[in-house]
Amino acid sequence: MDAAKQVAPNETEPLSWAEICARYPDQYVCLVDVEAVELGSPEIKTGRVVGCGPTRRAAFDPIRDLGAKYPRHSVRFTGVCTEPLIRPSLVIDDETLEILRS
Amino acid sequence: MTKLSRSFVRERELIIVDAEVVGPANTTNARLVLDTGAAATTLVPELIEDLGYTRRDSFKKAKVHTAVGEEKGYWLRVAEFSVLGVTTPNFAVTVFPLGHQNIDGLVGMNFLRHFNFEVRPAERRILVELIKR
Repeated sequence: MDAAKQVAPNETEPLSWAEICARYPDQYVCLVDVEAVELGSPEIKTGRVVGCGPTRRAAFDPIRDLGAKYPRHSVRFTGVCTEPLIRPSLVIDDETLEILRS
Repeated sequence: MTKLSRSFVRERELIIVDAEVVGPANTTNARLVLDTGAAATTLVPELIEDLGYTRRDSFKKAKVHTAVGEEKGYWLRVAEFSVLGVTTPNFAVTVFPLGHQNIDGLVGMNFLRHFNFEVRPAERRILVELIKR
């Protein structure tokens, strides 16, 4: 089958973010046709779910080979992560400094 | 002078912004922490793989110190990187796991230094002033 004509097996209708969280609690979802609350906002207004699962990889797998059909996507976690963000501290050598300045 | 305005989300007192990252296979939107304390912009490995990159596309090894010790990652150039309405082609990022389900990476100073910006926390907005070079 032409890859461009393939569709993720479980593509939903457009859902609000609240509906997505209620339908797919505490898991990763892969979304297409995402509409943000406003231009450039990280807040999602609506999107179609094309994959879900316990890991980011599992959520994206249904469309991994369907880039022609789904050229743009977004993977989000519907739960709340309470782990603190541990920011990495980059070891900067002279070569790294050149990259940072480029 | 061009001025832009973008909203952000304040989550656990972190500033979360939307990013658009283009790779060889597709384009993805990501949730990144605006981090003026980070020298480099960082993306998590799973996001990089979803875009169609592999570790073989890296051009340099990278090393970070974290609370649990030293971790090895790598540098990679993504085809296009856009945040706050500013787009940079062929942009160098570091790739490391962050161990946080809601965050896909950090926007560091190697991106932010190319323009002026003003964070307005109470309004949840960031004002961007593009600089002509």
